[in-house]
Amino acid sequence: MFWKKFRQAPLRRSLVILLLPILAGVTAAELWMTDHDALDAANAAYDRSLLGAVKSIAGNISTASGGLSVELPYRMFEFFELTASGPVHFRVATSDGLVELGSADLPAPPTRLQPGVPAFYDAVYFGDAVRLAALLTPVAQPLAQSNAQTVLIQVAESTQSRQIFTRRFVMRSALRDALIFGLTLLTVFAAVTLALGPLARLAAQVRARKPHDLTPIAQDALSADVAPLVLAVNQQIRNTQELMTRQRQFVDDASHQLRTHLTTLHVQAEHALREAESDPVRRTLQALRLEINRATHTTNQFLALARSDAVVLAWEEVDLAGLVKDVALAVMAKARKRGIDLGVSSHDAAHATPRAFGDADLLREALLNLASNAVLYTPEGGEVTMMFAADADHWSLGVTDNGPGISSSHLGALGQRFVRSDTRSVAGSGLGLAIARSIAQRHGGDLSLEARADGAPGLHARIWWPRRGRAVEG
Amino acid sequence: MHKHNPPRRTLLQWGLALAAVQHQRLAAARVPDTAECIAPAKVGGGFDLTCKLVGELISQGGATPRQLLVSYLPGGIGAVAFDRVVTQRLHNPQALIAFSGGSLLNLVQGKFGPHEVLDVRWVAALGTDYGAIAVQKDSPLKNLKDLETLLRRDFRRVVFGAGGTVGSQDWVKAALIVRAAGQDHKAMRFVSFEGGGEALSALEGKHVTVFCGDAAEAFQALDAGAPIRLLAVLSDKRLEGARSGIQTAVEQGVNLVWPVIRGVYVGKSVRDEDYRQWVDFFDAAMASPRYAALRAQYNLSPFAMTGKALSDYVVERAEMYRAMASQLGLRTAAPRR
Repeated sequence: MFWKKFRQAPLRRSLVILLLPILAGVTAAELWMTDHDALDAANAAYDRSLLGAVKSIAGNISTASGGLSVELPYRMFEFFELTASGPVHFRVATSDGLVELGSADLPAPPTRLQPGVPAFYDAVYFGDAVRLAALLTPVAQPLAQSNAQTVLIQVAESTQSRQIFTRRFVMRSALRDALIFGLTLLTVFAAVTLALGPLARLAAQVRARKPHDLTPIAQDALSADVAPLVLAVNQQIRNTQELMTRQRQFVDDASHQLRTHLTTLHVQAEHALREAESDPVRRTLQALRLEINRATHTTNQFLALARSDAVVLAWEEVDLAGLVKDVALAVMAKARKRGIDLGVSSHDAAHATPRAFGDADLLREALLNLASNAVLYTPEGGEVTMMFAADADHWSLGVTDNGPGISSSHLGALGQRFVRSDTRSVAGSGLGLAIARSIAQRHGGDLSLEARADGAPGLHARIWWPRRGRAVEG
Repeated sequence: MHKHNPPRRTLLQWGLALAAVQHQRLAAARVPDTAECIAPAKVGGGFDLTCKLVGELISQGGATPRQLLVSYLPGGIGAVAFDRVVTQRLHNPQALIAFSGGSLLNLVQGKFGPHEVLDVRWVAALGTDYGAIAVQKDSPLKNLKDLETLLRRDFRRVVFGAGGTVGSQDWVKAALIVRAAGQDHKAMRFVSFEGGGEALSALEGKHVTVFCGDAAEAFQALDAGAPIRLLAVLSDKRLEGARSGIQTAVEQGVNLVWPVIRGVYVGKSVRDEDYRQWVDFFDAAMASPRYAALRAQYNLSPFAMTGKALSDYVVERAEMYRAMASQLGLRTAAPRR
């Protein structure tokens, strides 16, 4: 479970998840050792001054009077207390404890001492942690009250100052370690981000591509790790491209072949119609001719679609008003035959004849398809209005009819290839909207099918494409 | 109406008075069955003597004579006992503990642990000793003036010997004398011995020049025939009786009075009524006409103070010691607030 999640996590996060505990562990171990080292170092230094105190007391011991005595210069204590920054206690006693001077209850050394060899140990004295130095020195003259041959000297000082020293030392190294820890993490983060940069750029590049863009991904300035991936993707793109080219070629070839045959069929049907003698035969031939016309139309649509998918756009200045007029003239005859009122409107107040950029032939083909559909699906005596518009970002061409409209459940599917409106009364290949959509998309825009804005029954079909479409289209 | 029955009234008055006296005597006599006195030192020191004096008071003054148990808890000249009482780790929380003026000096220097003067209950001061300055019998120093002159002229040749260490009463006395002579007490030569007795022996053997200690132990040595001479006692006025021949320091122009009161205290855990009982007992015992003689046996001068009065005195004295200690450059424990 964890490992699955871990493998799926972003590289940066998995690195941090791995590195964080390791780095924290290393830092903690380092701190612990620093603490120990600092305490050892502090002890070594402070023990030396403690031993100095013991030795100076040893030098001041006298048994000449028969009793144990120590000359105690105040300066010595002042000096000890200054270096220890706390009270200093001492005890001088015969090793049998019968004669003693100073603080009688100083904790005894934990081990048996050898004469002349100092010992250092920690203990608690009056609730305070103290460090003690102890030294056994031989007595010059035997004492009256004791048979002991040696005198034990103990000096205790508060561990306060060495604790402060150690704490300050450890605090400093903790600060330093935290800084290094943070810097390391930051560096790792930065390094990973830098290293993964090409990948991120590649992802952005791929994401920005148009659906039909089958140009290979740029391979220069790629890291050695990413290059094979890009090569593989490019290989895949090339394969797809070849496949699509073959398919398009097939549709193209098939349509051409079919059109040739259909033309021949049409000519022969016309001829047969002229030569026909009986009415039933003529009716049959008329039906045959209609069917041949439809087949021709469909084949033409196939060709148009294949072309709109494949052809390289010829960007040029397009006179939208002129284009709409052309298309209106083209469908005028059919509209008049069905008694449909065909009109043109402009939604562009600022420019009477807006200049757009696009492939004029393709755009004309798209609008022609929309207009043909409208004329075809609108009941006789209906109204079809063609429009063109331009705003700050887009250009658009559209057709509004007062036909039956399209149910909202069907709206999404329309414009896909071979999907027709649910109005079954008229025949059609269903390719018209697909062609319009394909052309709009080639321009960086899309086809939109909406209910009429004024709420009346009917459909508002419109292709739009951005003013920056030329730049977007790769 | 009163004139009608004079005999009755008198009888009642007598009865009441008698009852009062009876009650007072009983209170004075009653001490806890488990009475114990702790001498916070080894056998045979000043603390031991204080306990012995208390023992005699109990065995003589009580209605039912009792033997006082004396136990010893040496360590840090009273430090261990004081610390145990305050932290309630004493084997007998009801016990009396002997103290001296030196205990207060140690207390303010933090040598008794992080405790305050009023962390215990001060019961009674039974008497006082005074500091004393002595030299060897055939020393050229005859009085404090001679010592002062020598200190001014040849400071490094004067070696003080005493039973305490740096910061002890004896050291403070020596330091004050050195300062009175206009010298730096931090540079004085001071030799520490286990006790006053050893210091006096060293004085006899000319290992030290001047002895700083208590009058009682100096007199003891003198009585035993030690070849020493007392330069001064550090009392406000001359001692009584046989010792009245020795001049005080004040008389000799050195304003140094050093009383060493001796007495007993108890722990905070002792109940009010028990504390009251002890105070009443000592009040009564020290009011006895026989007490002066007993005290003299223990080489103590008069100083009787109990209860609240003693507590006030101790607090005041501790403040004085604190000021003096910090003046002499000794470490003092900051009062806890």
